[in-house]
Amino acid sequence: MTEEMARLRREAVSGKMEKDRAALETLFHFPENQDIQLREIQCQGSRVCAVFMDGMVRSSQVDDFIVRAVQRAGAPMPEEGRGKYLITQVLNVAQAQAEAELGKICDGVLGGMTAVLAEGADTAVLLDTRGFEKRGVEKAGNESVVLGAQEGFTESIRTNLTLLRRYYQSADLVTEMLSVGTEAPLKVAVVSVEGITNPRALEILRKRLRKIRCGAVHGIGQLQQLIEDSPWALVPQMLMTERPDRAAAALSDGQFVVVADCSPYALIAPCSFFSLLQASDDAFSRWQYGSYMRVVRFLGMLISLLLPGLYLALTEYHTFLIPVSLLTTIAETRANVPFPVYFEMLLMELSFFMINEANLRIPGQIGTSVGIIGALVLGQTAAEASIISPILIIIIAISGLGCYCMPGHSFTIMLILYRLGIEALCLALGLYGLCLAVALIVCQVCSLQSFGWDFMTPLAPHRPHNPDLIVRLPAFLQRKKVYARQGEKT
Amino acid sequence: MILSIRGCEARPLSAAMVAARAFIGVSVVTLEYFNTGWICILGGFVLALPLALMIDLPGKGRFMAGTRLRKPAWALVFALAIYECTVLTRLILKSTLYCGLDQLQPLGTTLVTLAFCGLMAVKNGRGLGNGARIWGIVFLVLFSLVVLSQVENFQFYWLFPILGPGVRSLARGCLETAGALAGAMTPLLFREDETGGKHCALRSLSAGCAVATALCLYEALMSPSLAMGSASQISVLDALLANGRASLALMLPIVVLWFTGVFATLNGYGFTGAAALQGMTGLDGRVCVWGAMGLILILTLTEISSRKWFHIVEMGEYLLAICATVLLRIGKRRASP
Repeated sequence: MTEEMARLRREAVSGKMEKDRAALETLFHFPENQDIQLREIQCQGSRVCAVFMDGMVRSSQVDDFIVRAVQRAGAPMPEEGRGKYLITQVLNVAQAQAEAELGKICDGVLGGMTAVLAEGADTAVLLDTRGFEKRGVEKAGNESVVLGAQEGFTESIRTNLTLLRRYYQSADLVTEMLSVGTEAPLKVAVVSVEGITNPRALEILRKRLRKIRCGAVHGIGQLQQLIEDSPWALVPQMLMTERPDRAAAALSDGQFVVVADCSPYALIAPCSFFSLLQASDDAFSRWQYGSYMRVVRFLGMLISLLLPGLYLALTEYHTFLIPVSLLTTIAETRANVPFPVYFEMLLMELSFFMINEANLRIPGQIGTSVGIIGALVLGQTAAEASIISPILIIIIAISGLGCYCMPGHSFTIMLILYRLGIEALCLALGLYGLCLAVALIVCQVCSLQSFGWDFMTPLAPHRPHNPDLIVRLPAFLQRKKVYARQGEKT
Repeated sequence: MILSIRGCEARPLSAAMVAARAFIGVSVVTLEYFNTGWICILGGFVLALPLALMIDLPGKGRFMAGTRLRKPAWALVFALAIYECTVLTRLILKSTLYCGLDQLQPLGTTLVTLAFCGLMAVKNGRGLGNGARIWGIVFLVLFSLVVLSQVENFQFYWLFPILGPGVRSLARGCLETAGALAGAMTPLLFREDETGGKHCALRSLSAGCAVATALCLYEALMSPSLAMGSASQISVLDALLANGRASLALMLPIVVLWFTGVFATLNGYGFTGAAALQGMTGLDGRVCVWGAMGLILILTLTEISSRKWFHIVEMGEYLLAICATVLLRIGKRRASP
């Protein structure tokens, strides 16, 4: 944005139609920019101009409640307080506000509002006429559950906030609207619950949002990278969800929710390692079922992380630790394989990642076929051709399954990357390498913070908490305020 | 970067170090206490109590008083930590040789070990302390698994005779263990606040000693005292890891427990050494960490050995830790009139 434009944005409405109109035309690059509409209307002899963005407004609303209402005004406009007069006497739109600063008027118009300027008025009127095309509320696609609510967030910030309000119906629910980015501001809403959300964490968030100096922030994923505590860490320190029920549950646990325009996800913080392992149907089902699912998920995570590395360490260095019968089986299956174990593993891991990526990118119907081709053709044929041993295929398949037990996509990717690191160290140092890698990962994860809260809380350091980490006990035992709530010890 | 650790993080770190270091001291490094190692730990615990109580005396802050006494105190802690790190790094080298990793180059293994130790120290007290707590939980799970699967093989009469190597030798063992315990409590000297709760040092000492005693008892219940006849570190480690009778599958958790335990202790001492160096010199934390690691690397790979004076050095650790704590305490009192 040039200095001239920035100065213009700070200016106030002058009340002179020609000057204000020219200023808005400059700001919107009219007439090159054909999307902006400046519609002049006569109101009992006074000039009025409606400014809106084509496609962002509902045309019928502009026609019926602005243009027609101004044309049919019963009396001439008064000399003083024309803005207020238009809101109270002429315009038939429920949500209307007077705004003097040209920059804010400009932002409103970009967001789908209609600005009404009147000759002699020192304020413009911003009217809510938003009516752009958007996707409806649909089933959450990437975070599906068997039991529980099925709705997912959409790309519209307004719809997402409405969904949140529906799931958390309290007068204490507070929504702060702000924008980030200097050139193409992104609308962001910070949702918290007065009296429950931790104020310290909220203050940290506000500070970080204010510090963002990017020209444009592309979606909530980039926003997360700009505001989380350790952007260099592999572990995500904010929970990204597409489920409003999960976001509402986080609000009642003292966490805040960040929603951004054009992103069908919400960010939840402060979050702990354990919340990344939890899914929303854990709490919806009976406590025994929920606990069972979590334990399976936790074991899946451990298997996915450690199994390939362990296999590599045992077969390369510590064959004496493998029971003889299993050792014989491994030796028999590997007898005809010409490659060393690590090369086999690398080959298999690469194939797995490629099948996975191809499945994601290829359109729906073909994607399924790629999965089948990958599993049958590559796996079976490679084993038959003695390129890869069947045991290794089983190990990679199990660790891959373990990865996909995780509720969040970013957590899955994190596991894969850590797994590769562990495999490398196991190849170099055997079981000792495995211990070193695990120690470093644990230390790294334990050193993280999420908006001022230790990432491994409430386990390390220990904090009072509900019996709801890996094993979830019945709801009637969950009486303690959870760790993130205000008033709890930090 | 300032190397710091909160009370709630120093406590589990110190407890983990106490447990691992006491066990290593009585069961692997000094063989003659073999089946009476658990008595040495209990004796060492009693001797280390005054130090724990002194560390627990009220007074906030990093024990840094800004007096002339501060630097010599940190120098003592630094010397103690570097010595311990060198011993532990050499022990890791020996363990890797035994555990099927004999084709590894000592230099490579030491470099990787110290690089990881340095990386973890750079993560500061939060990572190390909280990591030690997680290690404690993993340890309990793995150890319970090991004990439960071997309970039918336990031979209680292998715990006797209680006075095994003789009263004089046992007394020396208690003193040496006290030295090991005193060294393992030094991270508590750096704690920034009192979030570890009241009697932080006492609690970590008690918890660590309880775990180490359980480990020693477990080892004694599984191995006849005759094992000390063929006294070599490798044979004892063999008895510990494989035990002659332990099932193959069981060796895996024991090997993992061993490596993680020794590495956790090394990390604790590495951090303590670096923090003491920072206390002495006022340099940036990263410089201190990598400086300390470099020194440990040199000492590990040199031919210098303290085997001749080992018993004296171990007992001397006790005195060193007490001296350092007293110096810091005096400094504290003078600084806050």
